[in-house]
Amino acid sequence: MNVKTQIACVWCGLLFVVLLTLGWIVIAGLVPLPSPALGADELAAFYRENTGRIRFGTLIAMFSMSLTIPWIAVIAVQMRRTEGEFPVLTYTQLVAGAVTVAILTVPTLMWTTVAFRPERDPQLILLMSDFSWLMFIMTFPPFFVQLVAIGAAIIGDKATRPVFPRWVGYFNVWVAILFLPGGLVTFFKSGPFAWNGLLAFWMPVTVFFLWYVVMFKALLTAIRQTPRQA
Amino acid sequence: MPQSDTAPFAALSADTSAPPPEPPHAHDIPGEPGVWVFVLGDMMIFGLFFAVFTYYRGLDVELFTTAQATLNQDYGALNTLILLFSSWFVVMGVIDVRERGGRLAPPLFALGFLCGAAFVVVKFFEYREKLQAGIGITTNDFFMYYYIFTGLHLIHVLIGMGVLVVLWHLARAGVGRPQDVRLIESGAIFWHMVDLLWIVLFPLLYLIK
Amino acid sequence: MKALLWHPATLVWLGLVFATGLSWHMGTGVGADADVRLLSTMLIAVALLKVRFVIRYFMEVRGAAVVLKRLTDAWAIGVFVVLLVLYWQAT
Repeated sequence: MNVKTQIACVWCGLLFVVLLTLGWIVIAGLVPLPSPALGADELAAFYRENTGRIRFGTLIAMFSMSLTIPWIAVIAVQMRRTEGEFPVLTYTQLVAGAVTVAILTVPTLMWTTVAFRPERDPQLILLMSDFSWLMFIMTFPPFFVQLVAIGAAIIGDKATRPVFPRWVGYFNVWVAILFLPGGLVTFFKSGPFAWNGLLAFWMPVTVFFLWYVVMFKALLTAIRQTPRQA
Repeated sequence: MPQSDTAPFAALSADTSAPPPEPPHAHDIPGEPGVWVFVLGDMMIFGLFFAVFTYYRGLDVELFTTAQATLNQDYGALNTLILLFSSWFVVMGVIDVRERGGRLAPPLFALGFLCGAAFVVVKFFEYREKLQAGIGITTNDFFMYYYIFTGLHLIHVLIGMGVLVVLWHLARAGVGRPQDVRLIESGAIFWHMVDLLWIVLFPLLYLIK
Repeated sequence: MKALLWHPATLVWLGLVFATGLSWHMGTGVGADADVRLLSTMLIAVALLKVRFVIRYFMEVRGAAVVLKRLTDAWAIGVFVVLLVLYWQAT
């Protein structure tokens, strides 16, 4: 059985978190997010003054996002054990997870696009920047669907020895719900529900990282406890 | 029904219908422990919502009080009573399942569900009244919080109604295993959380000045 | 059916309904010279008191493990204190 490969996939998830933090937060300096209330000129100035950082940081961040692919795959493999002949929830998680990778990667490319030619018309920079943050923050549905699928599979696991502890299923549903406020960012340019706000950004991002920590532990345990085939 | 003479053999078979051995303090926690992860977590988040509202209210009390005056407090109070009634039905349903064979439980859970539906209907009229007056989510900060927090709560009500349907099914199927009872308790706990969140939301949004 | 009705939870429920009516009466039709700060403080207190009853009697934490009692009490008290502080801090 490919225990080592599965474990490597789990570690990819952790590596994603580390590299994302390094690239997006530390190097590119894109957290705290540029405020949606900024005018075109101010925003353009931000990108002009941080061109090198943003180019390098987004490169690392973009790479890190594809590390979630093996992570999503190993979640699917373990979820598979909770379902019978027709693993719909497993497939749901797989597809939703794939979409989340795209949703993370495309905005990253937009940031680097802006940094690529920062002397551009500020209105164009504003447009691309708006698009990037709305895509990054507002698109809660694939994450929501992914985590609800995981939660449903875990809670619906009727085996004598469940693959995951049941509280992990409930935890996934809780995290999923906390992504919902992200959908509100299209209405606000300031306040807690703007894309840089407490409830639409900071709270979901915090639980996003927490989810990785919890699932990291849960997956390693589940892999270790997988019964050996005869 | 318990088959104590075959219990030792149950562990040997790969049969998944045999209940797993219960941990020693299984019944010290109502429902299953996992549901409390969700419930306490959700309560924490709503606690954050309550704090954020009250903080921003403190920065512009006059705006908030003026805006609040246009709220329909009767609808709010009615909804509080509706949820209280629904919680009572659900409590009775759980007790019936646990102590009295569960024959009254399905209609009780159904009544709880109907109350939930009534809550949604009242909310519909309340939102419509506001929207027709041109008051939307971006009208001002008070109404931003009003729509978003009551909206997120409403989503919880809708999810809870789904949970009550599940409870109704479980109760109708005739409750057998301890896990089923605990599952029903867990669903009820979620519903009571929905009730208690509104108990705080109502005075906070509608009444305090 | 009768035995079902005469349960502590039913008495608690009646109390909660009464408390709701009381809050509604207190919170609406407030006179111009009413002390709104005291009134609002009472409304918040009544709300969190109701919450504690719902947690203890409806969610059945009353007969539950101490850790659960502590956690839920901590939430109720925490929310109460934070809301009061933020309310009274209003400019």
